[in-house]
Amino acid sequence: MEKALFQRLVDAWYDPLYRFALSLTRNSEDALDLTQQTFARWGEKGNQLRDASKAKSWLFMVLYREFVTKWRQNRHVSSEAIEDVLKVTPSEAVSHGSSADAGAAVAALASLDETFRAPLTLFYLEDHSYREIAEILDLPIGTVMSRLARGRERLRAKLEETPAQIEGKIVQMPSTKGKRHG
Amino acid sequence: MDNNEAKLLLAAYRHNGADANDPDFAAALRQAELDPALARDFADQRAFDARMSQALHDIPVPVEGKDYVAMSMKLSASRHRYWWWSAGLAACLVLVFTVATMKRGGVLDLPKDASLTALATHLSEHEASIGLMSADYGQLTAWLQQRGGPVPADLPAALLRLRAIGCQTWETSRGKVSLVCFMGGDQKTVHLYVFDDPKAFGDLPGLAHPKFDQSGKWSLAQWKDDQHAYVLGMPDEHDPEAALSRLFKS
Repeated sequence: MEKALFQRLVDAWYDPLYRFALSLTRNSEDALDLTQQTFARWGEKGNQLRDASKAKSWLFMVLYREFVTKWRQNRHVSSEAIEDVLKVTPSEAVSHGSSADAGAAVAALASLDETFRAPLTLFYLEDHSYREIAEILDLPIGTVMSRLARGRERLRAKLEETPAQIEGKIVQMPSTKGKRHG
Repeated sequence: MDNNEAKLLLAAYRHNGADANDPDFAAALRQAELDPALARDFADQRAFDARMSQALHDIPVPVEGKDYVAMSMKLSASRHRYWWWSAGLAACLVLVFTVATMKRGGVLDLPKDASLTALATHLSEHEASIGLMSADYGQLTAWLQQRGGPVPADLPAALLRLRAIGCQTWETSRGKVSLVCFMGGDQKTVHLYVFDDPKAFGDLPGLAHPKFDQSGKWSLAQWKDDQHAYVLGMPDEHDPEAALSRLFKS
């Protein structure tokens, strides 16, 4: 594997992949693990990819499959974990000026069922096209369109119905705890 | 195409106009131009999507995440190197250590007469596991202390300004050894090995005048204090001593 290419991929896609992982797991610790595992998969199998322009979709697809095969089956997201994503905590993370509106929006997205959360996150994050989303999530194009439409409606409804509950909550990740590696 | 069909299609239209030339959207976009209500809904949807997109991009990302990826890839590469070396394709010194090193009853057996720097080089190439990954140096030292590993005390100030990555500790035939990893400039990992019993390693200088050395690709500095012997290692094939000595200037 070419080291320079790997570094370019990390620089370009680490942040969006982490945000997608966070949307799926709703837990910053698991999101870090899932993102790291995705790049580890690239280290093992990425050189099999003939077309470098497909690297973005490949990484998101691998992350989602890792989530489906390992995280979703083995880990139950507790209400505490969801709150952990939503609560305001001091963070060592780099903030890009999160606003209360942004916090409310992401909190509403985090509260949606994964059926809608995954395609919507891909749609809003890095502006994936519906075709790319269908490929990443392994869904028919019509299903993606339907989930985007219905997911958006639910998202808007949540933002309109419960402003008091989510307004003012800035979504920041808790500082990273130690990871077991090896 | 009726308004409902157009609305379903336009639900997948990206707010930034990236799909403007996609023929699949052409009919729905024409419909939106002709129908004011649909046009209003579509404009409203795009404004909402733009806010959501911005909100997602505002999610902060832990700064240490990329370091973890870089670290794990280096460790993975290190394991691959081990295979090649053990196949007889690389440095004979490492091969000798490979044969001489065995774990017995949880104690890592290290060569009896190997120098401090040889032990550190050997550990860096053969013991690639990290016990705890964290950017919090205090958390790392507490973890080492809990496991009875040597905890670094007398360190260069510039080293402590680097971001910590992780640590490990081993019980070895040459005493307890700890490792603390930092992320140096150019994404190079800096390894700090801390050995118990500094007297076992001969006459070492103090922190103020460390002894610089070179072993393969590793640039090394060694020193001691009352309790420990230290080896600081950094992979650098261009100007190794200069890179490492910068860490000893406050």
